[in-house]
Amino acid sequence: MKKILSIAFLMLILTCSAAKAQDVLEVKGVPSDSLVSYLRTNMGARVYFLKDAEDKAFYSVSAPRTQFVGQALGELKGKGYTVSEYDGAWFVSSTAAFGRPVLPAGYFDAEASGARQAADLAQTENVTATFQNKIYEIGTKTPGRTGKAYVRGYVRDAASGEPLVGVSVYDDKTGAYTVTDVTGFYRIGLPIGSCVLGFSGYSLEDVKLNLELWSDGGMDVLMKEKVTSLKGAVVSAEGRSAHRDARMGIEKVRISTIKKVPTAFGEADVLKVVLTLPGVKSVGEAATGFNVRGGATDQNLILFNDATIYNPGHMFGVLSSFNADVINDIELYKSSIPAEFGGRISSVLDIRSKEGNANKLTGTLGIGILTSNFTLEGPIKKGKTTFIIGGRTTYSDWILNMIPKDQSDYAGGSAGFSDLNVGITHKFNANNSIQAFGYWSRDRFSFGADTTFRYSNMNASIKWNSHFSERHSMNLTAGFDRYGSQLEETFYGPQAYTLDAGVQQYYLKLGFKSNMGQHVLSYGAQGIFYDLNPGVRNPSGEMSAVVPMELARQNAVEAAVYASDSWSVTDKFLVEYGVRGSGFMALNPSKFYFNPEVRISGKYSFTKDFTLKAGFNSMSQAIHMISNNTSISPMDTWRLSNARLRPQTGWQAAGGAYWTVADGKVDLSLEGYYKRMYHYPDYKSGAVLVMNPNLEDDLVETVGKAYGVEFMAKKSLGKLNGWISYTWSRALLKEAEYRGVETINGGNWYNAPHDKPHDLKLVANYKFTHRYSLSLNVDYATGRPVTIPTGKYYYANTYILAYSDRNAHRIPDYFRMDVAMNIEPGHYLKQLAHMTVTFGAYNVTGRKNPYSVYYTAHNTDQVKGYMLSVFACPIPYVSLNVRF
Amino acid sequence: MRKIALFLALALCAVSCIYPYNAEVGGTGGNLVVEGDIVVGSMSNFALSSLMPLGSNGSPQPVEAELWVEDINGAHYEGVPGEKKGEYDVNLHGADTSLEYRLCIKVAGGRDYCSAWAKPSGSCVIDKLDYFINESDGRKQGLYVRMSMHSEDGTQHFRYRYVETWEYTSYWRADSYYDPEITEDSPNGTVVMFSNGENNYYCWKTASSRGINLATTETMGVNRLDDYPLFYYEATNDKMSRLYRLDLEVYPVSIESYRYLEHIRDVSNYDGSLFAPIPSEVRGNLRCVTDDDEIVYGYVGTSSPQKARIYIDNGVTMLYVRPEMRDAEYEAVAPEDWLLYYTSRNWRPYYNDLMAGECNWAPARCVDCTYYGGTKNRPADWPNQDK
Repeated sequence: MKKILSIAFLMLILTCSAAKAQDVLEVKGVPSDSLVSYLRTNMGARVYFLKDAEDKAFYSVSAPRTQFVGQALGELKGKGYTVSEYDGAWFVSSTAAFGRPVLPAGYFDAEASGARQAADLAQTENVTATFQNKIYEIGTKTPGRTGKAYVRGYVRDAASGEPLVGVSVYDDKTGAYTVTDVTGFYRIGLPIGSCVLGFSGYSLEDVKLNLELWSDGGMDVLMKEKVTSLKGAVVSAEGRSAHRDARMGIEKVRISTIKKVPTAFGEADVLKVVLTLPGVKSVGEAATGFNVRGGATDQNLILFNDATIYNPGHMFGVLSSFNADVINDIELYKSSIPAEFGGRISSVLDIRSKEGNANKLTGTLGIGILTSNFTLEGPIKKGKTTFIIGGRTTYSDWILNMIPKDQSDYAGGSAGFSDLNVGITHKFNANNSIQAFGYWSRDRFSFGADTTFRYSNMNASIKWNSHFSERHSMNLTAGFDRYGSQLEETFYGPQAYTLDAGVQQYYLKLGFKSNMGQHVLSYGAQGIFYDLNPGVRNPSGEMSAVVPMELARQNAVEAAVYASDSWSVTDKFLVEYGVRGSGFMALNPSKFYFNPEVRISGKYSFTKDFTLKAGFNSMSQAIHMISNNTSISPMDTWRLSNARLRPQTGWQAAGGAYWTVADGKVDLSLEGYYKRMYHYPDYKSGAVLVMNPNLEDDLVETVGKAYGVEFMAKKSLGKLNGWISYTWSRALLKEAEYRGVETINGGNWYNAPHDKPHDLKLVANYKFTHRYSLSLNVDYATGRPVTIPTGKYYYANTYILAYSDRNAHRIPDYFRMDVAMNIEPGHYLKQLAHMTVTFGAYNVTGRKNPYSVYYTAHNTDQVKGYMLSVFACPIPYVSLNVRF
Repeated sequence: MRKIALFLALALCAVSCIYPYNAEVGGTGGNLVVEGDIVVGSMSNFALSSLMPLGSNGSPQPVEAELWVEDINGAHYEGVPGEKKGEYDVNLHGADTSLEYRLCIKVAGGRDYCSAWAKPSGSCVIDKLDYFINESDGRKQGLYVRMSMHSEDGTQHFRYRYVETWEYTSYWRADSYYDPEITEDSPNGTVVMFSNGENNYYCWKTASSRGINLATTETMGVNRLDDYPLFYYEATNDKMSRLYRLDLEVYPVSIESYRYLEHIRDVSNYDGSLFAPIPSEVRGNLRCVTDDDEIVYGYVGTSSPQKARIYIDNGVTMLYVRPEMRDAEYEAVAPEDWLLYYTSRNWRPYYNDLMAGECNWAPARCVDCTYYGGTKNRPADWPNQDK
């Protein structure tokens, strides 16, 4: 109604203006769409107009009737619109507008300009497409030509301009398939002629484009985040991506999903969502790190924009180190690990941050029970340079200080963290961009007055992406990672000390990708220089008589080359195979290890909805976290391989069946795996792991085996979406050599600390309306193995405990249910800020899940058993997130 | 705002909790446990017992055996049974401190056990044993007992034990006591006035240190510990109420012994917290000669202790703050009345008001120091005149 009145009012002004001068027409201060409307109705001009959403300008035109149209179009041109004429019609659009093709001026004059201009267009500037009912012509029009041509381009988020990674690009008719790389780039071979090219990505609206392909050409695509239909599910091809890819054990989660999974204290948490995926386990709540298919926590390579994160937890593991507002998506490789990744034998978690909104300055501000965060992103130079900056901090110290001293053991303790992410992306041209990234985090906590833990991550990298030809692309990354931890012990002044340890590494990665039709080749080389500080002890305070002590620093160079090929043998049969050669040179003293690695996986699609896959890959790892704790902690010692500590190696064989049912709404998968690990260093009973110059004496080599079956049903669409998974698995270790009675568990297989055979997970989200949704998270797992006492004896006037074999018992099973209600902002585009409110409860049933069980006499005559539960009651929470 | 923060703080601390855990874990038992050190040049005491299943509620089971210490030259020092079953004394007076020694045990059934050969583990000197009063907010809050010691032969690891003896008093001093002896005249016993300074006011207690106490100079540039805190007592601790004595023994120990003792101490105090090392079992220096796979618990060290003593007099420290006795009360009745009523409630005579012809009765915990486990047996060398 308001609009109608506005238009009527404008029409009145325009008519009056025109009446004033009979030969000269004049309009004053009208918006562009009104001006165009005037041209259509009053001048009879055929004007096709797509308004730039950012266009807030008012136009005034005064010209003789015969020149008025040209003058008005000139005004629009002057405000950045592109104006083209074709067949007597005018096409007016803006390059910044979203939701319509951007065509260069004179595109429709192709007949006059000749084929050369069209060819140039195809080579230099991509068509940007989202209209699904339009036919996009790609390449130089050459009638009669047959064969194959290649379409290439970038897929970006329509709202922010961010590149979309891992989007499936496919042609159902021919079975051609590819996915976008980390820059959102794709290249796909299609038969010349008409075809329908599909684009689908998790939590994105599917796009199907009608192409008229003449020859090689470019086409950029804008995709929008999915708005769930409330009237029923929309069939998507997204789920079928599992049928197109030969790789197995890949889990991809977008940040929009991450933010809906309820977590403790309402903080959107990347790692907690990873834990909801099948095959991923943790030793307990508030435990930093995760275990993938029987692997140890240090056997996961956690990459954040190519930077290695050694400690991914904040606040002793309650939260993860990653600010959800700066993250774009995460990808977890559990089985088929691409050849470009190496250095860990269990999994790769690849986390990518946003590049920053390319269109406008936006930000978020979040307030939770424990933390606050902010992000700011936007263009520095529109179309060229974007930035993103995000930070988090906590006020837990303030809360802990409020606790009365006699009410909790936490009183007098402290805990705090901060982190900061900075990213800048600059595009030199359509094919070259550079991305600089920095990450810093700091943690500090103490449970009493005498002992303080600190640790910090610092990462910086710069990456150059180049699509230097039609078929070839390259990325070159250089970076620096540092992780440091500190323990300060001040109980007795003369023996007060600080203990510092850390890992620094410098790396250079060069990777190429070549699309050769049926073959997509990836190849490259990588180098890492490690500078590892195993431990430095220094006196703390003036009273301290502690003698400074420094363990010899460890340095090493790790270099690797790799090559892999994704070969589409037929449209049903795809094989991916590759090799990676990794050379590890420990310095001072020198010791060289060469580890060849194999990656192979294949799929055969019997139908478009049913696929079988199999794969095998081998990995190696030359840096080890030595720990006798249950989870990653600041007390862990990192060591490089040397003459006495061999690199860990391992292999995994896996097979799986993938079935899409219910008209593509539900994806079922069943994967089985068998895995072996060698040279995994475990500690001897009674080992001294901290500041031990002869640490290798206290370690033993073990072999490991893990096997299991993972079932998953995933529904990505509709009002109700989410996934349910069940995993049965085992993870066992055995000391490699028998050392007599002191051999761990007599040299028999023993449970790994994270061996939890049964694991059931449910993540569900139900959307009542576009704004209101309910999330549910259920987690059940067998209790983890623990070492508990089985006997006691009287010694030193108290009872001393005699322990069982290692990990021979289990704590009670784990069960947790979380619920959250999400209220998302309204869809008022002109609203200054949009607020998302989430309130819910973690562990809503209040089950007292044990983190550990223990027995102690505490210098008394009675041994008693206790159970430590980290979150032993429902934790209600509210979090507010304001986007502006 | 402060209230909200306090609510959040309490909610945070409430979510992490410790609960009793009583799952049936089975258990093992029967293995030999040996406690004691070879004290070259002195009397050595050993106690033999057996491992008990975790869920066992019984007392430690002593083990009887033949026991002796032998030196590397083959000399045997036979053990003789001590005061209690399973305890043995070995006289090592005159033994050569430069030789290696080991303990050997033969238990019923023919199983033989021996410790590893070891020389006496260095020496140390206790330089000082004193205390330090902790004051804050203008008040004496408590007291640290500290030791200073050093070693001149490079010994870096030490174990210490101590025996505490302290005198304390009841809340009120009673002038009478109840004599339960029944006579014709007093079928319910009698209330008798104390005479000759007798009382139920002063008592003494003795306790040996519990647990494994260790100290080390391993990380320090000198083999010296200055003012090393042994323990801390709050000002309200009744050990500080009148006169306190500490007898300290410090044993130099080998690094192997230290590591073993440190390990079994830590795993026995394991609290399951997020960063606590996972407990595991380690072996000491005793082996079953006939079955090397049999685990023997304990570590037999070879050393000579240093001893020191300190008295802490509340008259000097002025530290003790007597906690308020809850529900302290007394009732007055005729001396001959209500005897059975009060004694059955565990009340005792407080004072006899002869003028009024009444006896005041009070709970035993208020007027009888033995109520808290103390004894009227005054140590022979106790330095004050209380009795």
